[in-house]
Amino acid sequence: MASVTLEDTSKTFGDFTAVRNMNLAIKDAEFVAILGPSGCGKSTTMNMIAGIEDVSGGTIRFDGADVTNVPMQNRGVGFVFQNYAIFTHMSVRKNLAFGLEVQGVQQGEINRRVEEMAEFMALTHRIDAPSGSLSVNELQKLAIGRSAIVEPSIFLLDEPLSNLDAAFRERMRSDLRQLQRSLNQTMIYVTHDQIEAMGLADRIAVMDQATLQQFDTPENIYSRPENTFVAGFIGAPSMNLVRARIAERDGAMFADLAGREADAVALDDRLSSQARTHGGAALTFGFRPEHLRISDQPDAGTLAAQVVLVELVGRRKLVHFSTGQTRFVGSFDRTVSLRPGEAANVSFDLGKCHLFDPNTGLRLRLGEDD
Amino acid sequence: MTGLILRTLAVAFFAALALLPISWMASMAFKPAAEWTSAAGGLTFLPKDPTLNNFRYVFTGNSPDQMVGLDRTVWSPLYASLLTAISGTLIAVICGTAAAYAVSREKINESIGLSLLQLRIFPPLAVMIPVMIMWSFLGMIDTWWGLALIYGIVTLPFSYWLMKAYFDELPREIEEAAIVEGCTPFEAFRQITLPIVASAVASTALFIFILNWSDYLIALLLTRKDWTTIPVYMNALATAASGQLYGAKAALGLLAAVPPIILGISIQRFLVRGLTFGALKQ
Amino acid sequence: MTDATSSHRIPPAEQETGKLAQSRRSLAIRLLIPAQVLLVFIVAFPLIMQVFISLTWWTPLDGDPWYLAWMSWNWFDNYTYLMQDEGLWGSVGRTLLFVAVAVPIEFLLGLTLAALFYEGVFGRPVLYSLILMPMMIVPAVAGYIFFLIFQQTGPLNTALSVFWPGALDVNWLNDTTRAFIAVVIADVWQWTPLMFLILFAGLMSVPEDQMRAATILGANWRQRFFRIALPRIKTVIAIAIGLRVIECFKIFDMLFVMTGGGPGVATESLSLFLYKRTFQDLEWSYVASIGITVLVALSVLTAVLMARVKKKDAS
Repeated sequence: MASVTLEDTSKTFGDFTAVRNMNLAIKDAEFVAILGPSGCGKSTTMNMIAGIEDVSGGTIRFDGADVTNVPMQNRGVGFVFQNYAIFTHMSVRKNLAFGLEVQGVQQGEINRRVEEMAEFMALTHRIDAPSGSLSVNELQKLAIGRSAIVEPSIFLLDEPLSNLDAAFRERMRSDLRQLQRSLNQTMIYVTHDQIEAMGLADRIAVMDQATLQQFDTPENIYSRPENTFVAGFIGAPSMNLVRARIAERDGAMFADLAGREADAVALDDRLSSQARTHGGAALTFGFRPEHLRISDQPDAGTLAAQVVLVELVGRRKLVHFSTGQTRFVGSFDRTVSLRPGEAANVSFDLGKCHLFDPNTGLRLRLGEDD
Repeated sequence: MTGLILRTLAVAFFAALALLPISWMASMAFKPAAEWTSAAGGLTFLPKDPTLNNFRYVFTGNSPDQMVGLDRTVWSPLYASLLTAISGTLIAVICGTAAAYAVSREKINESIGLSLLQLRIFPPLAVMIPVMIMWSFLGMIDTWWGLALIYGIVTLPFSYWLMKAYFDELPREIEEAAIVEGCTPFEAFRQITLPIVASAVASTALFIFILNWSDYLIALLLTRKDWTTIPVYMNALATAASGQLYGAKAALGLLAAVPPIILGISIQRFLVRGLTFGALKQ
Repeated sequence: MTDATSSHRIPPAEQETGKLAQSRRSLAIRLLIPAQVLLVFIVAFPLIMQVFISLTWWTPLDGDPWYLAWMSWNWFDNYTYLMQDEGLWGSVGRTLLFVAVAVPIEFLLGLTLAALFYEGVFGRPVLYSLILMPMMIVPAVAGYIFFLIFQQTGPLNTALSVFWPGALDVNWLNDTTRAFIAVVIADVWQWTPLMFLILFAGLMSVPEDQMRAATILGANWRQRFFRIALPRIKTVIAIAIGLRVIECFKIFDMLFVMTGGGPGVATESLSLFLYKRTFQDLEWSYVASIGITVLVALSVLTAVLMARVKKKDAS
């Protein structure tokens, strides 16, 4: 059990900044996912927590104690590599036993715990097999078991499930969650797969280009994104971000999404207050595909658009719209009947839509809780 | 951090041990005859009175230090070493590359590789007598081509195994593309394959050159007077009249040692491959 | 009435392939010829000649050309003689002792150096090149260097005399034990870098992630080295030791220049023994028989080792 805190932590490789002023406070026994696209700095952050990489600036604390200069040997973390780094010249048993052996645990105790872990990981039938002969799925389990057996208080996993087939991945996800809960560990999990992160984590740290974008619960990340990056990264298909001209008419705020003033969409109270406070003439209007509706009648709250493409994805129908100036995607139930070339009137579930500053990308909010 | 410093010191110690003998010889090469032994009052590491006389002696046959001149200067052994080493290398590289390509591509006669390997395992003296007889019979003793031919065969295993590893890594399709366009297989080999492996051939050639240049035994057996190479010449350099020519020999040793060192450092990355017949890479 | 060719029509593509494969094959055959000629001319033929001569009493002193050697046919007398030749077996024993002493020392020193480099040192490129230098020295020249160094009034004794005044009285190259030690030192100096080179390359090939995983699990340097690194480079170690043993067994240049095999026969390796019999005693047919014996012995040895390696690969 240990909390992990990064204070102003940064990492540079020569001219290149991999991680910039990271401030992250992970709670004891929390399951945190570090999520982001390739090259955003998530693996480097993890490596710094483990001690694989030195810190270029700032501090790292475990339970308040400064571990910034403690070598990786002594940090007492568990680490599962993306390619598993299994000792392929040893058997499964010897791999599992390794962490205990180097700590000088008694042989009898080692055997007991190895067999326990093998059972827990469903590897008992392969326990004396050479680890080089294991399948990818088995290697994954062995990698986790090898790290877990020494019961580290902090468990780091670097994209552990990305090499596995989809069916197995589901299984492993719940197994991991179970493991974490039963051992009461702080688990930090790097991934580029948002579905995984959203499904597993207590909180998600979204990173892009060496910077932390938002550290929040999955719910908040989804419904209250900090900026356009987080908004656009989370969700499949991702949030539509459309440039809108804001104008006030008859005391109400309108967002012109299509370059047709007459067709501007009326904003609700919340969004109107945000727009007024901001005062700018142009804003980015963000709405998720699932928050679009089809209206029969055009009115102040609707936008006229033409259907360009219809895709069937799983249980949903994805409809691509065009207003001549902009394109966006809506996600509807399968029963909705829309065909390419048809005209439609779309309306928005405004309570779930957002406005973003067009220059900074930050989401507009009225107070801390918005 | 302290670990780093300690390790560096330890390695530096070994490096110093590696350098000391070489630098001793280098220092002897520049010492005048009086400083060759400690008879004249103590031996010092650096020459008290550095001089080029030793080099003068071996290159011109005369030196202010020595009363007796040399019959032969180092010029002809130098030429002999160069000529035989280069020719031997050419023979080994050409035959070896061709054979390696043939075996790698068409998989014929694969046992040739093992025969060549066995060649390197046998002590030369165990098999040199018939060679000496043959060479004598054919009039190839004390000729540069006779020596070069043996150098070629003795280093052939290296060029064969090294180039075979490279050709094995090169997909057949490369030549097939050219042949489809109308090349003959030989043209494809010459114009497509060879340029691709050119740098490998160069490294192999330099490596083999070092081996041929460094030979002593074969030159000792197959040359008499006209075509002795530098190592043989150097070792034989002493007459009853001149006594032990320490300084002159040291100068020769330095001369002989410098080319392999320079070449060796320049193909440093290739050495592991070369020395293990292509089995290991760096 | 039917077109004679139409019933035997070969699709053009196949026809092409057949011709192409043929011409590629013929190119390969032609490319192999130079190497094969060299092997036959300089290896196969002399071998037959050697067997022939080994069954006679012939020496160049006879004055007769070699092909008349059959006149002094003696069947296997040379071979029975070599079985009892103390000089021969002494030199073989000495050579084996030399290998058994020098190679392990070279291995341990080379491994130590490789481990030090692997863990990291300052100025790695420079130190690396310096450490490699001894093995690039012409062996005959290296022999001369150590001849100079081990002179009684040479630099080694002079340096040692700072601590032990008696050092200047110690004779290295004329004392049977010390001469042996001296040549071992010379060989270790020259060839430890080779061990280092190969072993270091092996260590560098150990996957870094596995070493990191071991470290994170709490392993210290020793545990990482002996449980992860070393087991993974077993093949490399075998190659390094194998290569060195073979070359060391053949040693000639360094010994000839440094001691000439002396004092007496204290440093006479097999190659030196053969050299003396060939050039001092001119007993060519005898040497030929020894040569054949050595060849047969080594061939059998390599065949056995190859078979074991093949068996290991198959399992």
